[in-house]
Amino acid sequence: MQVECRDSGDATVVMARGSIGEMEADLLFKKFAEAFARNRHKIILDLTDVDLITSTGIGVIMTVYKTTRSHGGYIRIVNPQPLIRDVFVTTKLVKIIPICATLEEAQQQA
Amino acid sequence: MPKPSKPSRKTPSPNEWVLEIQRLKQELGALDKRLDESKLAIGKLTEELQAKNQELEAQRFIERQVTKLTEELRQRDLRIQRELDLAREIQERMLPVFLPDVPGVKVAIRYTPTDKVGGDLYDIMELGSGCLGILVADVSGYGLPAALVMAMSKMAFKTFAANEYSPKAVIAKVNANLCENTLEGQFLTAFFAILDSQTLRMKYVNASHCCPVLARKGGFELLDTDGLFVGMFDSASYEEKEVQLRAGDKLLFYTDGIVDAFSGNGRAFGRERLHDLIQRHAESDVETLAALIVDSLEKHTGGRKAEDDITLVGLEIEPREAEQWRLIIPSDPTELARVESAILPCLESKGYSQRCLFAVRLAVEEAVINAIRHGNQLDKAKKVTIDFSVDAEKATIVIADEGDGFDLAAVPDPTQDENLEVEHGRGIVLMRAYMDKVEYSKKGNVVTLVKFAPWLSSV
Repeated sequence: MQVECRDSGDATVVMARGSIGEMEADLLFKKFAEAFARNRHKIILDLTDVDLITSTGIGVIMTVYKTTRSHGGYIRIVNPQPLIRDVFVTTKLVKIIPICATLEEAQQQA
Repeated sequence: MPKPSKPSRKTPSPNEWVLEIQRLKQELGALDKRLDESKLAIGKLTEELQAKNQELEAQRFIERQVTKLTEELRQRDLRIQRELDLAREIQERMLPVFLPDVPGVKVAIRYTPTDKVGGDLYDIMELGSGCLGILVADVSGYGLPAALVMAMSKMAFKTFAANEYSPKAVIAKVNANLCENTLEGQFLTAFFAILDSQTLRMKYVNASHCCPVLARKGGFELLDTDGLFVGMFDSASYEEKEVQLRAGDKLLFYTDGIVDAFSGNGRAFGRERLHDLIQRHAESDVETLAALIVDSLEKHTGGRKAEDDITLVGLEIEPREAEQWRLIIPSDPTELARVESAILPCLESKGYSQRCLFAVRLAVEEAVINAIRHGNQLDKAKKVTIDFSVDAEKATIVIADEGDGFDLAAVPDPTQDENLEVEHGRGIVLMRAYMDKVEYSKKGNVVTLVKFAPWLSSV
């Protein structure tokens, strides 16, 4: 997995590539932690190039969800491939984490 | 007896001489006249004789001419026959002597060339990496010209197929090559496919050829794409399609010699009859099916000699033998990569779809991580045993750890609204959602995951 972070307006865009499973979860969480350390709690997670996400990866996202919420921020997901989107549907996380088609859409959400 | 008396002669008078001379003259004249007449007659006869002679000469001449022409004709016939023999020999040599023996793919061939050489061509080529090139084509025209174009086409397909893994790219190159090297009006209809015998995916291009039939349990499909004749237009473009084959599938490739074969009363065998026959006998193996088609064709034509080459190439995907192995790993999450690379390529080669592979990858990772983390508590001295087996119907993965197990009923459902925010415990939900069967042993330290083959699975 590769992760890139960049600030875009008041949000931090995290772009992950590859799979987000047991072996990658720590690295991914470290990237989020860096953003939190800079007091940035509005996270947009771009999953365009992610081909697998397991319950461990979801666990990281839930931690980020709770952390950002407690700081008045958010986590929004952008453009997951259909198979990845299915995982969010199956786990019912679509109820609490918004999934947007594009980065612009994610940034424009209230 | 009286003595003969001496004739008495009286000396003639001068007058009498004159008279005598006149008489003799007259006689001479008459003789002359008769001589002349004879001469005339002889002349006439000579003329007649000459005419007769000329007539005879002419007749002989005609006879000689007839003999000569007959001989020329015979030579020409011989030459044509030799050309046809040559054409037939070229055609026969262009057909594969030995078909590649590919495990899991059964081949049945029926091929009857017509006397005048119809230009039918088929080939099954081994392209390496378990890929097979399948070609069935029909060259326009008959005889030597058809045989030569056939030879060129065969070489072109063989050459380009060795370097291109896309039928579309192969056929485009063959087209360009033939456009350059054949005479106007020489072209072929062709069906070319590349079958990956590992993944059972077949890519194909149909360049205006009779649509091959894919017959499978509960299905019947004609393999057609856009694409003009090969060797006619250098601007021609070809469409490529792909089909996922599976065990039991039968493919029947043929040329128009079958559907255009006429009965005694002038009725063509026809596509409908062929399709109907294949559908009715879809359960038969490919060899039986080929025999049935040829039998039916012979009955239809009443055994009359075919007007065109008849070519039928049948392929059948045989069920794979079951595969199974056991892998034992230490309780280390980095071992996951090994497990995945042992399972996923195998399923991919058996034709499991990307969606199925995603599901298996996700479920196996969940189960193995649970075994390492929760079962064996990351104790590297403890092992995780993975038993994998796959047959024509399903893949089964049994994952066992050396831990104390757990009570399945005690795990809260993370999809309930009150549990949505938990950070752990989604593994079992995901396994259940993505696999066709998830069963835990009573103790809870062994989980059995089953994924049906994509053609049987609802996912």
